[in-house]
Amino acid sequence: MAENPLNFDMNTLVSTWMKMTTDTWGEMSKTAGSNQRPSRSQDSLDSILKTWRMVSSAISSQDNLNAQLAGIGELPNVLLKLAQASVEGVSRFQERARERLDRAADHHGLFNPDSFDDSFFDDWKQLYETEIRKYLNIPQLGLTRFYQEKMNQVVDKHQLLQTALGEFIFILFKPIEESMKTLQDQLAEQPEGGLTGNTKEIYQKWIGILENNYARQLRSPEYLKVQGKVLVAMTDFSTIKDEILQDMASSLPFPGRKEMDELYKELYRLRKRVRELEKNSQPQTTEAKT
Amino acid sequence: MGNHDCCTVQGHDIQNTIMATKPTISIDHILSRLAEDSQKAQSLLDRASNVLLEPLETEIAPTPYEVVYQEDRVQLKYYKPAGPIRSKKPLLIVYALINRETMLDLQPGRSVVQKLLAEGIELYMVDWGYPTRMDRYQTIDDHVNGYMDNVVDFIRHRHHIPSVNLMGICMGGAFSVMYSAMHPEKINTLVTTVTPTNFDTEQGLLHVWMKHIDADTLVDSVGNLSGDVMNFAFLLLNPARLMIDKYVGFMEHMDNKEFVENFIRMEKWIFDSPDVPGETLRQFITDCYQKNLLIQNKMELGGRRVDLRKITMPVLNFYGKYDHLVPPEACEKLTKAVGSRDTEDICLDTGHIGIYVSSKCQQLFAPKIAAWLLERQTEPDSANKTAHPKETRKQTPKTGKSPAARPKKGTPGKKSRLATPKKVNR
Repeated sequence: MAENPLNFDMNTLVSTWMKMTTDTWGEMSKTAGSNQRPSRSQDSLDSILKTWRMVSSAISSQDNLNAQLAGIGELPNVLLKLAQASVEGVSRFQERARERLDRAADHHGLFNPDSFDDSFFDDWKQLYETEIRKYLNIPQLGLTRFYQEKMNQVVDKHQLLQTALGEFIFILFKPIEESMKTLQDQLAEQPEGGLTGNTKEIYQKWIGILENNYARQLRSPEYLKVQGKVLVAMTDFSTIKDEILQDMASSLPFPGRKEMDELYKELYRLRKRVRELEKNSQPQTTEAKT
Repeated sequence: MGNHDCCTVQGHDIQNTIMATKPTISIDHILSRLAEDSQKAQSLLDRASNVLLEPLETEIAPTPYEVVYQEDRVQLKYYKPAGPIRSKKPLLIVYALINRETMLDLQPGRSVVQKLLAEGIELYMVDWGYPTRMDRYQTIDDHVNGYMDNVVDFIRHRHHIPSVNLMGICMGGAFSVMYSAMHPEKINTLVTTVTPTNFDTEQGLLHVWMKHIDADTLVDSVGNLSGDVMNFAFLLLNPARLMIDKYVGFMEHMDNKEFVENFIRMEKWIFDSPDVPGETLRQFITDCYQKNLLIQNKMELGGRRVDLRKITMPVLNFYGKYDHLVPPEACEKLTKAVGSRDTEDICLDTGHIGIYVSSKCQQLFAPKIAAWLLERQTEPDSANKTAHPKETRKQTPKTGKSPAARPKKGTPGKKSRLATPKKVNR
């Protein structure tokens, strides 16, 4: 039976290819080197070729060839396992995201405009602190880790400030809403619905109701709590914002606020000391000169 | 008539009854009123544009003065009476760190400064200036035993007198009280106006808020408290009147040139708010508003105790019955806490700044102060200046009456009310 030209031995093919490649580069380097003066590039090329000959002779050995070919045969399995791991990772991430959204959906007031009330802000803050804030608190790595952490803190404090301000504006708006309703109720009890065309009278009535509502609201524990939250949020954001700006300013050729504050403090102490010394050095006269 | 006709008649009767009881809204009346109002508004706008587009006299603090002393940002203004000087000792006025002392000289006809000058009183007034970040570390001690003491010494040496008359307003009054307690030998008489000395009260909304503020965090983060933030906080004390009704009133009268000028002057003053030095604010909130140390004689400045019993000079204490910033409860305990035997409380039927700008109060306030000061021109002898502890004072009544007959609030005697029916809101 005639030999099928398509049947070939992989080992023989690889070893033949390696030999041809080595011989080709070797002949080329001899030809190039013979007509030129020794140079740095020639030396580099020679060392590369020597390394290649060593590697090719090692690879060409039968045992090594068999091991390599077996490894190449395993490549599809390896790739499949990598793909499986990636898909599992993505599906786990999606699963966790779905769980977070489910938990967020438990705060149903956040997504229902009809149930917008005082608890909205507490619900939002709770959602933010449990689901979102932890990503901002992930420790940072590397040379710039402190700056990265400060940026995260700015984002965090800004978010808390916006929430506190929103709640503050809401609580300031409530007396206006209540006063409108009270006015409408009072007008409805009057003859002609109170609509006598005297807008001044209606306005005076409304402003009186509004003033009383504010007087009550602004003393309430609820308002005091919200006011406290706003002040805390403002001071926290202001502090971290100043730190960021201070860091930026440190690379500029003028002093930042921190340096100036230290200078002012020193100046204050010195000035006070000088005045004390001046007073102590002058004779004490409580009686006026005549 | 058939059944149908009977039902129809009954239906008509029922309908007429319903019509008779149902309230009718006379739309035509409302519309005619609205038409009238819009016509009035249109003519008002026309007149207002003439007023607003013309030059307006809105300058404040028109009375001429001379700056005779300056230390850092602090200046001392001197006002000399045009006529004869009747007071042997000048009056030093110390305003608060919040807002500006220009309120005392808002406009001709509403100027406490001019009224006092007309009474022959020589005046000095402290101008605290505009604190910058450099001033953030200045404490109450620096203001009281630093700037104020230097100013008082300057006046004493300038006039060759051992003591001066001192008048304090609001927070400046609190400073004046502290100064008088620590340097009684330099003060001839003390006048306090709308001065908070007892902070343990819930009458004023500001007192309620201050108790819940973390002064340390606030001052550590912002340094000086911005004047704009303070203005906003004061507006929030009564947003309905101060942010809405006030401007509605302005729009109703903006065709009146005089009204507009007065309004603008007041606006200029109200929103001219310097920043408050951080350390001063920290101690004022903590020691005064939260711990109420001043009236308890426990406050310390620069390590020295402020003992109100050492205030042995005559004290005249003004406050406003309708003052929502410094309520009467915050002011009226001072005269009982001092060591002086010559004290007087005067409660005016007005608000925090109505005392100075209300036209009716203008007729009462400055003349009363001038008369009171002129009565006490001569230096009291040393016996009268001896400090009397509270226990001793009870046995030695101030007014000659027995302790059981000590004047109570609202009764005649050393506590009086000068009636001014119009309430002036800040």
